[in-house]
Amino acid sequence: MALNKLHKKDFTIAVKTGTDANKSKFKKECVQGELYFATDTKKIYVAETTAGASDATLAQFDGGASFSNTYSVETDGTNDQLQLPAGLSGSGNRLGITGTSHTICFWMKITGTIPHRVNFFTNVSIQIRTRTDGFRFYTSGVNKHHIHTITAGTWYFLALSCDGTNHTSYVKSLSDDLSATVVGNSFTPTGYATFGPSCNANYDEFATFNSALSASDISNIYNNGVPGDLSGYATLAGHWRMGDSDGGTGTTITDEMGGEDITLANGAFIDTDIPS
Amino acid sequence: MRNYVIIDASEVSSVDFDQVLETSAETLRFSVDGTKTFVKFEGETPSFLEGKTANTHSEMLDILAGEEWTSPIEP
Repeated sequence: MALNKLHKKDFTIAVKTGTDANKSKFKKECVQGELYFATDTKKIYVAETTAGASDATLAQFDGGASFSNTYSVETDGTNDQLQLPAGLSGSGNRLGITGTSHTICFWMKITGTIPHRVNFFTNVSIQIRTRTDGFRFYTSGVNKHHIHTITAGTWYFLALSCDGTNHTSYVKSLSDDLSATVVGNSFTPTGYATFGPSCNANYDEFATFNSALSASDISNIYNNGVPGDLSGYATLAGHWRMGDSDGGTGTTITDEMGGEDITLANGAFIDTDIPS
Repeated sequence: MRNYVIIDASEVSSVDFDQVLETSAETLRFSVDGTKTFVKFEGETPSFLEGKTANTHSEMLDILAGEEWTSPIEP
């Protein structure tokens, strides 16, 4: 049986992007078969007809409907905290990280005055703290990465990637794209972890990986300031969505990867302030 | 709106944790010298805190930023 081969000249694919609301413009100018991707709702539209005197009709597909980010967790800066696990006890593998190549990342936004020298993420091996002039990452208790940016009310994406020798920290926001690398001792971050308690802040999309993510990976996850689906990362070890997996209520933040859950203690609560 | 009340460490045993936002005695934050702590609540004042001074969120953050509550850490 003869096969009909498709050649480049036989078809074209045109994909336009924009907000879901702006698809109205697409409806007025599209050609049958063109695609429109709504970057905010992740919906895909296909032009069923060509626009002319009337707007084109569109078929809608929920291409990214499985992922949405609606919630974060807020701490009031007095004693609210996120505990992994509840009670902050034990020395086992709490972050899902099993080796010396690993990455942690999350989003955060500080409200009000930037506290000076306050740890807001604490683990036996990793501490991240504020200074009035920037973020400071500590690894193995001694290696310092000081990154000079921090503004109240700004959502930051923070990441720390360790390949067993080099430790690289990243700070990204809509106006910052900074990183710093130090050579340090090899370590596996075991033991409990906590966010808070002395920082009035929101936290979102905390994730850990069993690999040292590259700068390119970090940029992809940052995604121009909008959290995205991480399920495609093969080394994803833990993912705490800060309310999106828990119906936006309660005091448990479920680990999407099946590991230990986070407990919201002392009044830390799920909020609707998110990076966008 | 949250209200914050500073109490003596010796009063922790009288705290009804069902009436405050703190989870338990183990999660309380104490002053640097360990003699004081605080609890917070929303809505009506719990009976065991009646008569005590309630601080707003911003007032409490100012208090906690002082040396009595925050010991300097290395840079």
